[in-house]
Amino acid sequence: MTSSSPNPESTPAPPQLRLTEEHFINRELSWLAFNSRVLDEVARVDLPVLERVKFLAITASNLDEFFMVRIGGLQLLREQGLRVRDNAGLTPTQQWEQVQQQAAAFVARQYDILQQLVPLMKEKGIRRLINNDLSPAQRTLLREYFDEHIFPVLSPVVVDDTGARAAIPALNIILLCTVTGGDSGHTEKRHVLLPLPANLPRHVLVPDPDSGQFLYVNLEDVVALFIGEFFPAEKVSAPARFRVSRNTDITVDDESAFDLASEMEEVLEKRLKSPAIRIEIEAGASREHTRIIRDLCGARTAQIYDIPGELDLRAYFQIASISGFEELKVDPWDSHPTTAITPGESIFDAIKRGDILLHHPYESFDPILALVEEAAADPNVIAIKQILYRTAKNSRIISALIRAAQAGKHVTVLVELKARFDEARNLERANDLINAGAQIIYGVAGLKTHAKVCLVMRRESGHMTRYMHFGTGNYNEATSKLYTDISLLTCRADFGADASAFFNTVTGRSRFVHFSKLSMAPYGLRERLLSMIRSETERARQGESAEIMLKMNALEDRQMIAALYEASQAGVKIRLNVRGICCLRPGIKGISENISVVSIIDRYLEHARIFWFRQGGKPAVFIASADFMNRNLSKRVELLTPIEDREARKRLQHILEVHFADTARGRVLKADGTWHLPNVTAAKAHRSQEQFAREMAKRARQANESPDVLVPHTPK
Amino acid sequence: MSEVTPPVSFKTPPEHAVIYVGAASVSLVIGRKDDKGQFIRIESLDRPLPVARDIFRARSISRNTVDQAAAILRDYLQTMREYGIPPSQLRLFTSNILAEAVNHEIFLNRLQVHSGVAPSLIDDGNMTRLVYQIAQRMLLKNPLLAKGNTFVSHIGPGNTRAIYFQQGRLAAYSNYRLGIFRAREAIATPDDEARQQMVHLEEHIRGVVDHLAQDYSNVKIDHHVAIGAEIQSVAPRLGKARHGAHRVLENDLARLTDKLSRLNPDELVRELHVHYTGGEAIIPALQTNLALARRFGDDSLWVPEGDFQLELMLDLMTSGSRTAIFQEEVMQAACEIGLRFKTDRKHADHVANFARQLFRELQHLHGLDAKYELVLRVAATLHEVGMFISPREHHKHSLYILMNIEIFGLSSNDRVMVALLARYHRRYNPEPNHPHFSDLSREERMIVLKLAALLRLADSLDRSHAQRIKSIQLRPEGTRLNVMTQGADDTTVEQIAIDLKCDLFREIYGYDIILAKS
Repeated sequence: MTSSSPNPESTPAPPQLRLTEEHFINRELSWLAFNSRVLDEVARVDLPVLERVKFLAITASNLDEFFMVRIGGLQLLREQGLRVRDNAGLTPTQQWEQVQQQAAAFVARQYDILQQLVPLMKEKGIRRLINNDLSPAQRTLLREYFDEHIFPVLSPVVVDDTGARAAIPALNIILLCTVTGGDSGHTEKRHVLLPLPANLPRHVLVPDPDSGQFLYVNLEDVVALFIGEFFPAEKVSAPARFRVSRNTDITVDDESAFDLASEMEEVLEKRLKSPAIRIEIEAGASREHTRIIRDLCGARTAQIYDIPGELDLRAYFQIASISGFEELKVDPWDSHPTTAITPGESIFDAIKRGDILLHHPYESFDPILALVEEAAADPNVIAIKQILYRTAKNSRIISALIRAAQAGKHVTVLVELKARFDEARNLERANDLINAGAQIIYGVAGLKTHAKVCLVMRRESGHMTRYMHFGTGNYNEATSKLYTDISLLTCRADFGADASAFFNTVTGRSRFVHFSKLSMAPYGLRERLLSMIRSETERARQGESAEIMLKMNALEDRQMIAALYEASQAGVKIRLNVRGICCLRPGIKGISENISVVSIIDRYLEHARIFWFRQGGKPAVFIASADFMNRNLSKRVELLTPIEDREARKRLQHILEVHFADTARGRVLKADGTWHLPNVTAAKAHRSQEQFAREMAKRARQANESPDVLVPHTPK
Repeated sequence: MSEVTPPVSFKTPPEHAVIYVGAASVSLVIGRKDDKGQFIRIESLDRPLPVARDIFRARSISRNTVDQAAAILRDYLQTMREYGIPPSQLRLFTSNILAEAVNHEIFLNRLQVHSGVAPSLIDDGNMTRLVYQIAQRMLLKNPLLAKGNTFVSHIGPGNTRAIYFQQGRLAAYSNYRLGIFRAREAIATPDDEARQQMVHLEEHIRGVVDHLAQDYSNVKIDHHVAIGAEIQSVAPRLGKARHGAHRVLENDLARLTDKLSRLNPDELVRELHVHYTGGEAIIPALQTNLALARRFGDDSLWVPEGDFQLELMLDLMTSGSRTAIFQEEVMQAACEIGLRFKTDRKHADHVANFARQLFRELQHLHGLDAKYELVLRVAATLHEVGMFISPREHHKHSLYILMNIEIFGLSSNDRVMVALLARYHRRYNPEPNHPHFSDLSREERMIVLKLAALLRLADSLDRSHAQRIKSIQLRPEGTRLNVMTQGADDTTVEQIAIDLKCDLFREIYGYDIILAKS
């Protein structure tokens, strides 16, 4: 144990802390406040327009997930009549109502801002055309596209067929029109659904080589334009456009699941048919259409959102990344190779020299890929063990693991099937690994395996050396460029023994037997964190200077919040950098005066988890895969890794302090639950992410011998 | 699952493995030798297996348990395969409580089938030696305990060992049928409230604990040391270790035991996560240690620092080399037994010394492992205990006595050998149909014959029981072994004895023995 925590049996019991509902913020509302902060970024006029548009898409994607997962859960509680109050004292119904209110206001604000962005884009040559804008030549082009790509794959479904409900896939845009016709002059009306094909792009390009502009028409508009083609010689009304979100909180019952993989496949199917949580209908739909949609989805009027503009703003991800409009995007900050590894050097040699700490994405994720790829090719490597949670498409890591298995190495992979939304993709790759001879575990019964760790066992001059990667982020090359995270690469023997023990535990080879350095959830991680906080609390009570700095994505767990309140009461100075949900109220007299909370929303998604405790002047520093949420601490397999390398500890302390000094993007939480940017002029404001980018660039420059000397790739 | 071996060099890996089928779990430890030649742990695994529960409840290992054991071994072998450890570097041991299961042969056979190696029951001797070594190490680090009179108890799954040290030297040793699981299975249902359980337990073990207390009632006990996997794993919670030991107050232990007994298994893991070793035995182990401490009126217990389970496993990995100090303690214990039976101390010591010299100098003739030197010396020390009963046929009385007493530090195999050597130090040579001798394997019988020959010679050299021959030197010459003596002018008596008794020596080693003055 790196801590010198006092003997738990002799620590006096803390004075009783009576916490009431006023001391907690509701989780869902806190999340909406987070998404609002992201929307604030969209509203920033000092950001390039395509960056703003990207953030807009992010808020839309966030909101979709929120509805499908959280509101779905609330809905279930309501339906089951469970009046369970949350920590802030709200029943499911109360939460649902407040959420709906705030969400509606949020959506209104989204589209207001969109209205400001549209002319800005238009000005720069990115323009969405609606049907009235089209020239005859453009219409012809679109007609060709429709005939070739859309018509053959779009299958209209008549409402009233029993199959109609099944035809409403979640999150897809669907058109509903009324067709009047019939041969013998009878006006028989029927209503028809046209779901947009999921595999077609949302934006249909209208080439305009002369102007160099980027012109496009939304797919639903193209369908609407040529809708008559589906119903020749019949009258078709203007179609309503709508979109359904379903409850995806249906999770696998893995306690009894004999074959987890096929259970998973069933769940994926069920999700297609679960009840609707939210229906978005584009403004302009007739009342009759609205009613039909509502009934078709089995929903209530309260679940209907009237959208003042085009549906599904996630489409703006594509707009944000179109090529050729670089001046409308942010200047990228380079991701630098770490200075701890000499170019061309074996990753194993580099790690042997000393622990390597990486701050992504300012420092490239490549060394982690190198670890697995080199391990796969190295004949001295005996075994590779890894946990995969959310991997990239065409993951290099999985490819390397497959190669390693084929080369006869002992490859053990825990592919967490229960990683939300990625299950389908995870299943495929699991099969590839099995066929190559790797040992696959589909997660652990009852717990999601969220830890991020990789272990390589390598024979060196006879005996076995263990190389490890511990991280705060997933093994995903794509997200590693968008999220901030911390990685530790080490070959310390005691950490290696713990890593082996950890894998033995999660693969069921061994029961949990204590670790000497690491802590794991659910076997003691929570207890260790509490013991660190209480140790600081005790120091403050003894009159010592006591301080805690924590960085995480969400703070929701009641027991952890209570421990922090107690610490504050005792006089511990607590600074929290919480990106998203924060259920703790800082600044309450007598409870949390010593706690301050800042949330940073900026270019990269803040994702790292770093915990720092002053410990009387010899600080203990940890990185973790877990946030302070009940699900992490009690219902998931997580890892807490102490940092022993002095340089690495200093760096992490610096990273934390830079975050707390962020006045450009660091919103401060007030006791009433609102977030505010500090009142600082733009010139004087510190922007933490920019500072890290600058620092890293400087480090890289200093490390390079000279810009006029090239580094060759030599054969190994 | 592909069974391809990793494409590395074909040298055997330096790692060794030990699998131990214990009272409530099966453990695997993979270790390798460090620069000092000591084994250090590389990896350790542990899985629950209700062996003790089956034995103390039904006297038989259940089918289910046997199958579970097979599954566990399969997994452990897979782990070994990752390191490329060959079967020759795997040792498989089981707890000695297994001997109390009626179907233990079947169980052992299954273990062999699934592991590829023959299992050995951990002998009492091994366990005693380990407990002794842990205690010794602690005494070396801890001046307070070393100076005083220290009583050491190890409550195992089925038996308790007690060792008593006076000023750091072994003074007494005894063994009792008091065990964590033995007791636990005998008392009331597990659903009993914790306090009830404690009461029942104390009641149940009262008899044997009283017996233990009685055995040590006439000695002064300054400190009580409690050794054991479970108590050592919780000790850090009850106080920091100083000089190799934790001082645990009885009240604190009682409070902790009570607290832990109220937790469900899930909570127990999280509560003890820092030093957790597996939940089945924790409560009963703490309760039993507490009960013993209470009976002794201790206000505190000393608990050695360190991971008992791991030390046991690493110890099993080495070939059980015995330290010189340990050997002397064994000899000391043997002397105590000799005293008890009023043997001629001076004669016994003298013969033992000759025996040692003969063993060492004739190594090239007998080719026996060094551990048999100790067996021979103990046999030399105790060969005449039978005189206590009657001088007539005293060799047979010696056999009976030595077959039925505990000799500190010796495995039961060794003890049988000592007993047989005492039997054969005079009169008839061993015959294949003789009791006990006939139970030995051919190899073991050979060892007895070789050692008996040495013992007879050593004994003959002090035929007078007056230590007339002070020292000897060996000079082989053709088919004669000249023994040059010092101290006696006339060695006729001894030569007659040799001629009478050392036909065995001639038969085994091919040498006639001639005494000569040097």
